[in-house]
Amino acid sequence: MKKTKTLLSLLLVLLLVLSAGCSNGSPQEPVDVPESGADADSSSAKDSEDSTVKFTDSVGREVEIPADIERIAPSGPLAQVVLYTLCPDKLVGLASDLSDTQFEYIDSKYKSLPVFGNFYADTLNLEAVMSANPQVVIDIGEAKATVNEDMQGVQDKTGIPSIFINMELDTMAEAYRTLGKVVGEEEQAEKLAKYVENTLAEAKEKSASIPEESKVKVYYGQGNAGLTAVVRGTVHSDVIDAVGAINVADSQENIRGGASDISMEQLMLWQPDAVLLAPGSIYDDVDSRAEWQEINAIKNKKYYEIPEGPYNWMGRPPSVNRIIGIKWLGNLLYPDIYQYDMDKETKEFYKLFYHCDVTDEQINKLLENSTHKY
Amino acid sequence: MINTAEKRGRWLVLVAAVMLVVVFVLSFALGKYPVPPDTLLHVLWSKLTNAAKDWPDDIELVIFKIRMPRIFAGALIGAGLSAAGAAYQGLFRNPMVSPDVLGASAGAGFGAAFSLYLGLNFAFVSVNAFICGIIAVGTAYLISTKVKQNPTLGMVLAGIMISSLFTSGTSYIKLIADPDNTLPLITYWLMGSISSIRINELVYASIPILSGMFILFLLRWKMNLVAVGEDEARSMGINTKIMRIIIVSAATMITAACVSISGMIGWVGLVIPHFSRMAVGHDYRVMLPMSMIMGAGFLMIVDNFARMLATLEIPIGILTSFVGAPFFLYLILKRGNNV
Repeated sequence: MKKTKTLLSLLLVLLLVLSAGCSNGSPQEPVDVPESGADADSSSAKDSEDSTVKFTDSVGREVEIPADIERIAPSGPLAQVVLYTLCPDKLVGLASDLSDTQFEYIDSKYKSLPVFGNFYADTLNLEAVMSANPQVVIDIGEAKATVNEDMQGVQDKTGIPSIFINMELDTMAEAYRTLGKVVGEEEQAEKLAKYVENTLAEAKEKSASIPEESKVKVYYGQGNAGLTAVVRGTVHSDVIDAVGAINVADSQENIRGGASDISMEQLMLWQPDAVLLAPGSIYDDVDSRAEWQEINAIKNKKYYEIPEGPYNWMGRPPSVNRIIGIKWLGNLLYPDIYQYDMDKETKEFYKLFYHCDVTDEQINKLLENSTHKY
Repeated sequence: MINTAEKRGRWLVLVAAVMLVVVFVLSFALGKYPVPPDTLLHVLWSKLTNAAKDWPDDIELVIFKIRMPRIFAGALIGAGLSAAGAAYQGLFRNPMVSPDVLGASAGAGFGAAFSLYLGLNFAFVSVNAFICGIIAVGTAYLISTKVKQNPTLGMVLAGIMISSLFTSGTSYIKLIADPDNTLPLITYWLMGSISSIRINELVYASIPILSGMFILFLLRWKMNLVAVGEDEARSMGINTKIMRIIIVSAATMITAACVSISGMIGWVGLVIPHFSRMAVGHDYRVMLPMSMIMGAGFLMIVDNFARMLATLEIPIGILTSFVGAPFFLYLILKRGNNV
């Protein structure tokens, strides 16, 4: 027992010394050790770090970032989508794996990128991020309450400047411009920002022209019964609001956001004019489900499956994919007001944002259960 | 005979402690970022002797900002949960009892989920988790004092009830939480992870964890008597009521503090005391320290896997059950009568 005690106390002393040693981690003279184990890229990264600029991110953190950024790590899937549209070749890794169906639209050369994980899923592997040697870590999306400490924490632990850019539907264009400056892709950023601005402005103007009484009532269902409603006021319902339609699922006002399960009876009471079904939900066999025949929209064949590839057009993740979603849904519900040629629009959007030339076959696959239904 | 068994137990504790130190040092060498072993030893040695820093910044960050907090967290939480589990198993004389039996984890989980729902900052999340954990066990204890005949059973039943109350509270919060922002945060928080632990969080949590472990350590001899049975303990002149309060408070303090910084890490508190018992027998004087050592080592090893298996982090709560459950089954099947 005595020996154990001695050993334990020795261990304790070791721990104390170690923790004391690190807490006075004052900036000592950094001496470069050549055989440090970091890969050769670090020297080139260090060169460009010579010139840094002060950047104030969307939550007011002032961060020194390299002026010339060539290597970026996304902190989560949203950042990954946006950075892919802006500067795909500057990504040194992905937040989440892409599926084979997504790679139909995304160049397979990105398959070789390491997957770092998602900070807000507690799966971001900081050492993997450091090994890929990015010059900056970027988080994009809606600001979480703790985003300030979170990004500072990533920066403190990795020594890599980490910034947050707010990007919601109405701040998307601005976010692109800011990001364009940060990563040195102002031209592409301006193109994307313009596209976003134009789409939103058009939708605003067109939706305002629709009189209240002729607005289409929409139900957006998901899940393997189709009865998990996407509730009005959530990011996934933004597209419905933007085109000037009414999401019928608003009865759950006490429920802050969220998808919630509803009953068939509730749906019968709502009697939506059109039903939108999430990819992989019950689109394929809804016409053989007896109870659904009581819904006029189903009886009148006004039900559609939301296109997906590489991302769902109405959200999930709620990112730039919603921009093409607005054109698509507007055109689908109000073809006379949103007079778009969706084949052409899809080609343009995919070229501009996903750097992908979609084939007619792919377009048909995307739109066969909605725009191309008839 | 008893003497040799005791000696053997002490030897094993010593061996385990040496292995713990090895695992501890080894853990610093493991991770996705390449740190050569000689550099690592050099860095650690230089820190111990306060020598000047002559290694690159990124090595410093990896070792002391990324790996060190989680290695300490693994050791502390592993030891804490195992000690709490061992104490509860003795107190309730039930091998199926784990540190969360009285509702500490469910309460802490609820506190954290509620704080995340309100969008509070991370320090409040941990503090509220800790407080709710204590409240849950306190309530269970107060209810059990109303049970006259069998207070031990009463406590377990009250604990189960309180746990399920808090768990349904957590489920309700998950239901109404924003599915894009808050819900994932809550879900991942509950999953249990020590990858993003902050060093100051760890320092604060170590106060209740270490003091709880210290109290249990001091009481280890008396736990032998309590584990034998209430009447026997009373006949040996032990005030079982006070003992129960002290053990429950210490174990709760440990559990709530662990959960408040790491989320729910299952299996450790249930399985490790069994391993320890298989190794050194039922005598709490050796079994309790052995549990602490094995728990610390176990969680450090599992965390090494969490950061090594894939380029992304795997929540440690998933891995502990993944590793713990089959291994436990194997041991039961192999040496069933010793469990």
